[in-house]
Amino acid sequence: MRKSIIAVAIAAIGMLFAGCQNTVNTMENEEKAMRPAIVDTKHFVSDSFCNNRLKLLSFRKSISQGGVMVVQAELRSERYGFFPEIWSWWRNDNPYHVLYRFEWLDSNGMNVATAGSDWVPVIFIPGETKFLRGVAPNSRCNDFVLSVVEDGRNRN
Amino acid sequence: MKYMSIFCSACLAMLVAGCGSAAKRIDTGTQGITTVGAVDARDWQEVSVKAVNSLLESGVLVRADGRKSIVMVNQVKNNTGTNAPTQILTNKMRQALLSSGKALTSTAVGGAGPEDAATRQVRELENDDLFNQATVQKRGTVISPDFSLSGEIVKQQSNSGRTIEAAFYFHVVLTDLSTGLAVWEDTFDVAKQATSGFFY
Repeated sequence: MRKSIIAVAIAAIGMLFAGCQNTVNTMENEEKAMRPAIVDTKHFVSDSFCNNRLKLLSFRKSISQGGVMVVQAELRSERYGFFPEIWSWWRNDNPYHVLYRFEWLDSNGMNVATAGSDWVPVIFIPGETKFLRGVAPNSRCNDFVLSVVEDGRNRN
Repeated sequence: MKYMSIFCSACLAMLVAGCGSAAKRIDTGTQGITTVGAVDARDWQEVSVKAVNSLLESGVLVRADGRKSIVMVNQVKNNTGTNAPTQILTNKMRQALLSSGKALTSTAVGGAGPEDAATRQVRELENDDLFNQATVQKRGTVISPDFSLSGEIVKQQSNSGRTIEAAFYFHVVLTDLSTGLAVWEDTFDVAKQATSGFFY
């Protein structure tokens, strides 16, 4: 009897804290006018937690007015729902802080060092979709590597 | 008993004092310090990336005649009330402009004087008989800039109880010097917040 009461109390407290979290609801037009160029990607995952928390929805590319390649990764935070929200509250990672970086390779496969290749912080509210954009440093760069890492320093 | 208390206090103080760390190299982007009141190294990185990407994507540096645009780097005014070395931003943008292949930067003119005074200094050698005059740089050969890159940083700070919040707004402008019109401008903001403890 006593164990049951404790279990119910813990569940109630968890629901209370999880219920206090704000998550993002979205709406969008169903019939799209866009005709995006899709980028096929291959992944190397060393942090499965980060991989599970952010879902890659799309990866697109275009050529800008400046004649350089622009790529855009569409990511959504998957930290919504009962258990993920309790876990996010427990780990103090709501909102979820990550860093991303685009590195560019020229036609010889050589990395082109540029000011645009530094780490950029981005914050995800649970359920939120964000677009990470990378712009090639020049028109000779058409290949890239996108790195994403948890920004653990923002946990309190 | 009294001696025991003193001994324990001394041990505790030594323990706390011994918790320092030796100097080490860090990756600024993933390990740098975050403060509320000032622009940190990682803030400069973030703003530089966004400014460079925005400028390159805009296409304003592409000229119809195929010539590379010449950009002079003017001042980025620091109106934050704190020490903010704005050259970090402008230097990163210079490097990105050169790397783009669409523009060259001028070091002969700048908002706070020329970046490199040598362009003018070597032309003052034209009356110096110490130098072979055939090797002295001629007047009228320095290329005047097409664009000027300038900007401003503004800080807004607010407090609520023990929580302090600061937002820094970076505004960067590229001006077409033939018309005086801004052909590209963008604003990037960095906001930071901290809550201090009861005892510090």
